Amino acid sequence: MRGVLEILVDGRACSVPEGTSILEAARRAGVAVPTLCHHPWTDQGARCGVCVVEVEGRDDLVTACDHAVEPGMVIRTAADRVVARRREVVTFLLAQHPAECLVCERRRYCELKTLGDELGVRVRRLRMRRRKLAVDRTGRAIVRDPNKCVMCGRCVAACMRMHGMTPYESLAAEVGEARGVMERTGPRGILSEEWVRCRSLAFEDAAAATRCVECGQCVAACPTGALSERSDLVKVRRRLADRRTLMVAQTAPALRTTFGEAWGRPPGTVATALMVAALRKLGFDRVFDTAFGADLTAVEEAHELRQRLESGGKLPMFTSCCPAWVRFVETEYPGLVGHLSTCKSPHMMAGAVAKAVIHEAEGVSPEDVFVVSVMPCTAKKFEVARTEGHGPQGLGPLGASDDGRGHGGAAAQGALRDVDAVLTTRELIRLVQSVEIDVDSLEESAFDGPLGSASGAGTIFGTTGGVMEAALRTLADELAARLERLEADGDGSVASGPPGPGVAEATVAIGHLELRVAVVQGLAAARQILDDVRAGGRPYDFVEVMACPGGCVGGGGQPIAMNWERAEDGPERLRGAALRAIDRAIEARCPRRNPGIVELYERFLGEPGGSRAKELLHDPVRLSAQLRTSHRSAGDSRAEGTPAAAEGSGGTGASVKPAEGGAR
Amino acid sequence: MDRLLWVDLAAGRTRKTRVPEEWKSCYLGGRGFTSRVLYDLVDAHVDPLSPENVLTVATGPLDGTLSPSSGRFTVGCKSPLTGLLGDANSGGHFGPELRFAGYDAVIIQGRARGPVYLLIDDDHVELRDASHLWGRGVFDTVSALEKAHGSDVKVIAIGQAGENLVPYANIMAAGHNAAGRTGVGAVMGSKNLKAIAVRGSRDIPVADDERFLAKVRECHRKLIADPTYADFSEYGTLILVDIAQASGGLSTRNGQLGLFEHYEDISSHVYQDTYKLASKACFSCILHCKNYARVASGPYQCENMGPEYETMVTLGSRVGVGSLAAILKANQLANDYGLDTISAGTSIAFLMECSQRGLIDERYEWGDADFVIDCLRKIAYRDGIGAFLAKGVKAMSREIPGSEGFALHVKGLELPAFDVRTGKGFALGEAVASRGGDHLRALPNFELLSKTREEGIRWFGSPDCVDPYTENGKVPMVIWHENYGAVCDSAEICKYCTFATYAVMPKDVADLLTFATGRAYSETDLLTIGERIVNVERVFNLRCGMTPDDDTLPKRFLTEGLAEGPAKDVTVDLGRMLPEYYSRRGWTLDGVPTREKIEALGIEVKGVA
Amino acid sequence: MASRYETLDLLTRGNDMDIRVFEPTKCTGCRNCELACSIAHFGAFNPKRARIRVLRRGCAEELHVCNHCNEHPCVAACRRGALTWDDGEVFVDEAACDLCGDCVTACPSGGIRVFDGDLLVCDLCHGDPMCVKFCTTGALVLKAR
Repeated sequence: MRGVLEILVDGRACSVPEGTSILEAARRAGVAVPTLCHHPWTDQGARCGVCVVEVEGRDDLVTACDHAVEPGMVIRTAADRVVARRREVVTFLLAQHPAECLVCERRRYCELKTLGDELGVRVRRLRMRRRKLAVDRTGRAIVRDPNKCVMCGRCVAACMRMHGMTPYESLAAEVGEARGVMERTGPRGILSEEWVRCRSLAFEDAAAATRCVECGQCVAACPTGALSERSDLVKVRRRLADRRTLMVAQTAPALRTTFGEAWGRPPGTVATALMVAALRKLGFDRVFDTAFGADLTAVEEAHELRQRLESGGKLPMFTSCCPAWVRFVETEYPGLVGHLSTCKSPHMMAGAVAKAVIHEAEGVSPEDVFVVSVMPCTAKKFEVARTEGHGPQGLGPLGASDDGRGHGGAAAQGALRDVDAVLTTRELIRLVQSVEIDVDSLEESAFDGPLGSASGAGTIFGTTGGVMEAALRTLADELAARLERLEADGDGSVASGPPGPGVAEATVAIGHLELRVAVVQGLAAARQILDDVRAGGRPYDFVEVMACPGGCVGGGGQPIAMNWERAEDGPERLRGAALRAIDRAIEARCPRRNPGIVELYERFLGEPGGSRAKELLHDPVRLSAQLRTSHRSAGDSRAEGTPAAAEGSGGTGASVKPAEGGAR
Repeated sequence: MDRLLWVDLAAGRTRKTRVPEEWKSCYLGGRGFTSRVLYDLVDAHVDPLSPENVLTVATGPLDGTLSPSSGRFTVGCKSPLTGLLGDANSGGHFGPELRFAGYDAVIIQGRARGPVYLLIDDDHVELRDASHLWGRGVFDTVSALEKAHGSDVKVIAIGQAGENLVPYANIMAAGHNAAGRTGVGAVMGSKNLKAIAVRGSRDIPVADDERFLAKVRECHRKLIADPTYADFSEYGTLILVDIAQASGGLSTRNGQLGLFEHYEDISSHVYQDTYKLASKACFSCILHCKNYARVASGPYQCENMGPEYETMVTLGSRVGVGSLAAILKANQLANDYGLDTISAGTSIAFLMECSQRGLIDERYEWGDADFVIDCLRKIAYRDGIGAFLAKGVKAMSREIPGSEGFALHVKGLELPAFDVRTGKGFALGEAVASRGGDHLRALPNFELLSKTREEGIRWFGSPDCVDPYTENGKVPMVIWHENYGAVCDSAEICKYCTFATYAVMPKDVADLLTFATGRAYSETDLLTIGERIVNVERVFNLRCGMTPDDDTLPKRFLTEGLAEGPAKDVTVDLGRMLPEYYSRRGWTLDGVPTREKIEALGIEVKGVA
Repeated sequence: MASRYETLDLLTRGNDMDIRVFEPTKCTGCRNCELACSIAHFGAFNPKRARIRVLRRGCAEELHVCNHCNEHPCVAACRRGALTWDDGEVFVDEAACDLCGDCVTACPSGGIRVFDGDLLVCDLCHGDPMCVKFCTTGALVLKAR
């Protein structure tokens, strides 16, 4: 039986279960021991030596993260030699670090800098190190700067946690080597040639050559600016300065419960109106709500699901709004691409519609409209670089038509895009702070029509389970039936789990349909389902996959908390819960009840899944793949797949007008 | 940074040492260093033009950083004009370059056998033959050195005046900024040192980047928000011409009048509209008060920065000259010859008044611009009347009986443009300043800015200190300005940030220094350093033979009132201020720092009462 | 000494790509931009390490900084392929660069330099340029809408 141990931490008595780490025990005693390579998400640690403490009776200092408490242990977390050791480690790490804090994007939330400041480390002279190692810019969303790496291995652990993989094998290996150096020579090892060589070798794998899907979880886990998103701020700023360009901003659902954090609001505070006001102050001519795009996605996806269910299409159908997930399927399970919904992701739909609508209503050419999506996501930067707008030509996945340096190739450069640039939440915050907008003094503002209002369904796209539920509600409404979850669940959602890797399952009934559904977080769990499907199984009918913990609210582009600030139950849960609360409070809980959506379909889009919808709202590559495979597999006499030809076969006469009764 | 470069011109050798910790913590830099060097190394009997004089070029601990307007340097030596402490302060871009090369100060001793210049290129220091430069003006010299060593070198040089040992020859930085006063150029010339050219490519780190930069931005904001910023940044020091006329103190015809009949021709606005091309800034300065001007054609054709207000007066209204173009030309010539315009102009004005009063036979007409211009050349070459003028007004007046009352000098240094009858605080400051007739030691602009009586009480404990025409309540104000002024000169912060705008205050400088150096400075620390410097200079001067009688002003200001204007009939009563000044400073009734005071300030006791 | 950069039209309104505008008549030559650049990127004040330089030529101030131009001849000039240009930003592959200086010669604006083992070219500070922050005269401003 596991006992309870009595220990003393800095003179405070504390009772903790057997097996608790010193670090955790100290936390419970109200003492924060600083850490660097240890992270709440991961078990790994004991590389950096920052978390050392003095344990009575032991000569050597003990790392708190990986040592368990013992009965009667007396721990001192702030003894002189403890502080001296910590300062040593941080001093040497700073000595190997470029001195560009003032322009580094991590400036306000860099753990190394914070540790340095708190420990009073002044290494100015040693910090005069110029970049010696090349920065890896081959990725389209993430930039990797080895010169800022502290060899903590948190990125490796983060990827393993969510996706069960190690795309950067050399990094994983060299982190272990560096640990060896530290173990042999202590903190001074950081200054050794060997350590520097480890760091250099660690970054040998160029991002573009790995399986990395650029979800950004590694960025969120990185304590410094070694990993960061590719900045599109210069591009956006340049366009903002050009009065001839009509600047459109759209914000992901997750933004509204995240944005306020940069201005002192707790995670989950709804700050939509301030965010919209800030965007206007920056100079955007239109501020649209990506949740409206999510409503479109729900409509199209529900319709598509119904099609597949009714006419033997590929099942399970997987959601396609997470670009990291889509890329994962394309690279590792290309044969299963047909299981992905052909829908574009919400912001791509919104961008396409925005340009088309602005053109129609105001006569502005789409070339003169610049759409900026503010997303909690890094992978979306990759997404917009590879696809194009209204044309039927497709760009393939990695390598098909880019120049190998992460830039869309000649075709993509000139092509019209649904979305022209993606800014992460962090980038938007930086942009607003850099022009010194006093957000708190702004007058609140609302989104612009006609892409300004969203149903509750569109709003919950940002949280795990939300896409699934949105689609199901819409399907239910389309079929004029009720959506019923057949097992009891605590929180009222169809299926969702706490933020973190895993699968939440449910069986739902919609009218005569009984559907097995799954909500997946992380690609490790997704892989298992894909393996099953590849082997011929059909464990579910409909699967939502989000690469990030908690869904988009925990995305790789979201504000990063210092690891010692992370509550067990991090900001993702609060941001997501707040989205659900918004949903419950909105009258229109289904996109088919959103008057803006109804009007858009009636006036402009036609029918869900119709030719216009397919042209604007569905991914051309996946669409044509669908048509090819469906032609082959169905064996019927339908014409070769062009989107236009698919129109007749796709239509079910279902328009977007809300049906009587049915899901709200 | 952190190094002293010692130059032994006789041996032709240089060596480098660390800056002593005590210098940094007790004297800061700049004027603190130059005064300290004089105190330690130059004895009372030293002939200023002999090899035993020491010439120090010192920068401050903020030179080369983003600290506002902190790119200045000070040159110090025993003055050949006054025989007392001499120093001169200059802006431009030379000071930071010296620090980028790695030196806080250059200490020059001895005399070279032939003309040389000092070339500093980071660690590489060389004394080079300057015979090809000797005899050439400043502009030529700078140009030649830039050609020889690259356009990125920064040069300070003497002109013919310094070569010819004119007692008020100056040192010019790049031809546009003057280390003007007390004859530092003559000392450099006496050492056969023609120029110093420096290139620096080293780093100057600061202890806390973020807080330092945040503090800099805060200072920028305060400066821009200050009510005097707009005019200063637009018109430069020439705005003072307008202010002087408005307050009836535009020194005209050697201070006989305070309103100049040709004011409209030399006002800041006229200058701005006619000859000015652009505003220029010294290193790291956002006030950019330097004016770049061009007279395109005619007899006064020239192109140069300036003139400053001082020159506009001393080579303008003080000598009765109302031709703007001529003043610009005179300014350029003075810069090229390397002549202090204040001393030169005031000397000429003195001569003109002697002529006006019939004390000499020659006729020298007020307002004769060509004569003034000609004098400059003659002074530089000590030729004809120039030889006489080169002596300065104190020496000249000794040879002209009856002229003493209007020989505008204190302790031998000609008085600057400000008419002290229009500011009693200035009057006190100039009577006691360690350089002599100098407004910059104190510069109590506070009394001129129409501040409220409440502000007067709040700042200096007296409602009267805000009234320029009274002697009451001036002493604490002047003492504070002198102490803080010494801090500014040691930290090499331009006084336009501190005493024109009152934007940058001792607390701000303390923060800037703390964040830059990593050593904690408080406001009190700084004001003590200032006090220390003032006392060191006082003791040095007393050693050199200064007496309490020298703490005075020309009779003109003590006994003659102005005939018209806001300051009509005002004279200065030093007796109402001096005793209190000595007493508050902890000096004897004779103005000698007591032993207690010296020891309390940590000054090594050397020949003091 | 005459400059080989004849035009002052470096960042003036004719340039499409940069997010800054330079107004030469407002520049006073204070060099705060150089200092801000060097402290931000290098952690010390040293104008020679700045990616932006101001050279006083008589009455005028000449600005030398990469303006991320559409032509970017530096990229073509680089034999090692160490330079790339992407939609208005120049990037340096430090490992590939051997400091040969061909790009320096090719640049019409004096905007790229070699100093002390570094290739120095403006990176616009990730969209929030320090030089602009410390220019108080309005000589260097962000392009406004």
